[in-house]
Amino acid sequence: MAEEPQAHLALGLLLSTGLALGSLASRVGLPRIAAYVVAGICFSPPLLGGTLGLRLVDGAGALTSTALGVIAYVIGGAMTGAQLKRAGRIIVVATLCEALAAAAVVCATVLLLLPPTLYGVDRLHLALAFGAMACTTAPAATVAVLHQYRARGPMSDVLLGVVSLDDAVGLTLFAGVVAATTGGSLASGLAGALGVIAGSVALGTAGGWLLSRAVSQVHETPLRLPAVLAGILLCSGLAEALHLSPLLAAIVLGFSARWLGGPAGDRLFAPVEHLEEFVFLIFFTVAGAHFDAWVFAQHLPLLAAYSVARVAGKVGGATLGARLAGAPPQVVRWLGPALVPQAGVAVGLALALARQPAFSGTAGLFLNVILGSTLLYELLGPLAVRAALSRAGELGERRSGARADVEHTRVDR
Amino acid sequence: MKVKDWIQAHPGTALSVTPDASLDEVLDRLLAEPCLRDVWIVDDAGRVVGHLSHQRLAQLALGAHRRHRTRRQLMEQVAGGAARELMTEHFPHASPEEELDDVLHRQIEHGVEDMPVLDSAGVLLGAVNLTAVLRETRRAARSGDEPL
Repeated sequence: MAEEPQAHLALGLLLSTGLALGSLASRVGLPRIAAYVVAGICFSPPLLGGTLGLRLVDGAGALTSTALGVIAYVIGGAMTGAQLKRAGRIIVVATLCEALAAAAVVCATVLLLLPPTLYGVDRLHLALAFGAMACTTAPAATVAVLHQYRARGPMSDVLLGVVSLDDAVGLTLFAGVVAATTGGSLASGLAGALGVIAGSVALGTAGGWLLSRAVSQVHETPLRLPAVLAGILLCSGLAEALHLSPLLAAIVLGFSARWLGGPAGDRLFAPVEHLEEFVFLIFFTVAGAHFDAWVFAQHLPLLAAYSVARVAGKVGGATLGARLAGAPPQVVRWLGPALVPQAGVAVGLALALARQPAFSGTAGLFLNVILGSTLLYELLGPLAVRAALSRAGELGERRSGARADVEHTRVDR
Repeated sequence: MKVKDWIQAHPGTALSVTPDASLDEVLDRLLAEPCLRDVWIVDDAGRVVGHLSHQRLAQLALGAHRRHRTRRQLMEQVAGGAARELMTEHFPHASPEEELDDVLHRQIEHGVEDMPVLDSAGVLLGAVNLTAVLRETRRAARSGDEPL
């Protein structure tokens, strides 16, 4: 009990410092998420965390799990079945191909690069986890560039559809990987994984039905946020208690609540969608607090390989998917490079992995590699989106005001 | 004053469209009636099944001009859809036997300009227009009549 106030103090200091530095960074045109990470690094054990005796790592686990549950719920509820049908074959096929190709190429690259075991974990498990994390993108960065340059056209439409969907593929794949690797070996884990996946889907579906019913009875707007948050916590907590996947249960909770709760979903999702910035503040500052210069330097080759392999997979997969679906030539050619941005969701997944017993000891590896690659994508991603849209001939007149390559950082996830 | 008395004395229009109406059709209907701000989606039996506010329609039509968009808003922009998929199924409404005072409280809380008045089967009978209520309140205050 003595540690609890200290953990709260550490979190309070971390979040307020992150917020202050982030606001300052925005004002001078620097990436906000980089400022969040810097705040986190300041409170890491070798620096202020150690000096002040703050035990941040102890107190952040529950908070990051809850935050990831909220994001998973929002991602699950981003689309309806009818919308997927109308979005069209190009968006659906391109999303599946680019996400799965990125996962496959990263997985193969990590397998080639790592020794058979690292920190006591099988390299296949590590490769699968890195692969699942590689699927995700950062919609906010893409939207900011499209907005800044008034981009219009088939490539812009497909790009918006793909970036709003592929995080769902990444999260689902990640939940599957965690379930499959929990048994110790992949072969023994596969059978158990099917049970975990089926159980999580059933729990999420039942929870979505209950939540949509419950929220429809909440007529006072201020009560909807606590109602939805309670639903997410209850579903994730039950999943954890039943040894199911809290992440998958939360995605399915969002999808089924949207499906069963009416088409627009405002009551069910608007209250928590506004929490995204806070969630990403938590992810980046807490991840920054795990920064370890030695681990970072030691795994620089892995960081470089992951970053290049993910882009190669995204470009190859998007090109293949768009071609298979019969997309216009400019989409086939330029969709892939526009999918480079990656940020908050990947960091959230790395934090979630740090709490998995099957990956015990690898928290530093995942957090440092994903944090490093995120900062790289944060710098290069918007430039890649802009170049791809320009080549596709869809850039309009640039809006006056803030520079696009800086402005995106204010909203990037 | 009861709601049924108000709509009898102030027979305003409530904008309604079918669930299959496209976003363009809904916008055309709304813009043709500059005094009205809410569109009600009505099924074949005349029952109100959903609501589209002026604000929501503006967000849908002008989504590309927003710098911050949620994933849900992105999918709405990409996939589009008929009124039945864009509407809110839960909406405030009034019954003819209610006191106008109670309805106004709800109307202000939910930011609805044209509150639909529905019978027990959910069929649209009319609407309480907030601007008309304000006008009547001001008139009563000026002339020293009893307030609503």
